[in-house]
Amino acid sequence: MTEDSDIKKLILARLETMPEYIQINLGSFGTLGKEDLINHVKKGDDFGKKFIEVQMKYLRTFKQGM
Amino acid sequence: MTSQSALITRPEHDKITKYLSEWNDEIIAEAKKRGVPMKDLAGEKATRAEFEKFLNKQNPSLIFLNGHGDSETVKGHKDEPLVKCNDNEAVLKHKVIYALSCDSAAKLGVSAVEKGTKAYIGYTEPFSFLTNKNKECRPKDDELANVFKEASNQVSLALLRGKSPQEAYDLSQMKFKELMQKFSASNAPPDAEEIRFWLFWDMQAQAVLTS
Repeated sequence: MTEDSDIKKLILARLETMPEYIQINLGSFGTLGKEDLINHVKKGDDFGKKFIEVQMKYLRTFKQGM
Repeated sequence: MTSQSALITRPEHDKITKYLSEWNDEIIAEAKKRGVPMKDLAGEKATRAEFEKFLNKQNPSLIFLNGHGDSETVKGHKDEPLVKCNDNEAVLKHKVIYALSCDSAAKLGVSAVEKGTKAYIGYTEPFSFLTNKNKECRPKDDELANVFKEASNQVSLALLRGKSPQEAYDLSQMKFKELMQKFSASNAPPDAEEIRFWLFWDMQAQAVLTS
């Protein structure tokens, strides 16, 4: 198991808890729902990679305290 | 009395632009309350021709751009480019800009400031906001979206109240943090985790560029 795949599993597990009624509006990326986000992360496309990068930054920031 | 005047562009041709346009009702009300003259290029009026016509005649100190964008462009009605990098960003010379638009602080903002824009507040990555798909026909009642409105509108409200661009940016950053803390509370709603993350996304993408 690599560190990258562990991180991806962590992010996917977090996304599974996202309520279905939430829509994320992201300009040129359009409007994304829970399944869209999960697909981007699974595929590892540019947006999926960016999402993981910011999620990790967010988790580190919260761990250290805002 | 104030020497400020403002121009606002707010296309309304799709869901995202309709939300952003409604968010700006609060900004227009604040300008009215403070006696700041404001030209409102809303909906179909948010064209490059109208935008440049107004700037050629008047000299607003503040410009609030709302709409789709990319690193080199901020767009208007039906995504017509209003300001484009290495094209017409000189129209922003000597003005303070808040661009509620994706990515434009990455290149357009930098180029505009190099060409004389006093300050450019915007986002270096896509600006995000959450909506509740059961409330999208009533943007004003969408509590999810209103959280993001609160953080973003802080910039324009602060500028209208006479704060400097750096102060307006700092106040918006503080509002992002305050909201993230609010949605960390033990009694926070079930969607608090998503709200916190996407607020963080916008907070780290927001930038202030000054000459």
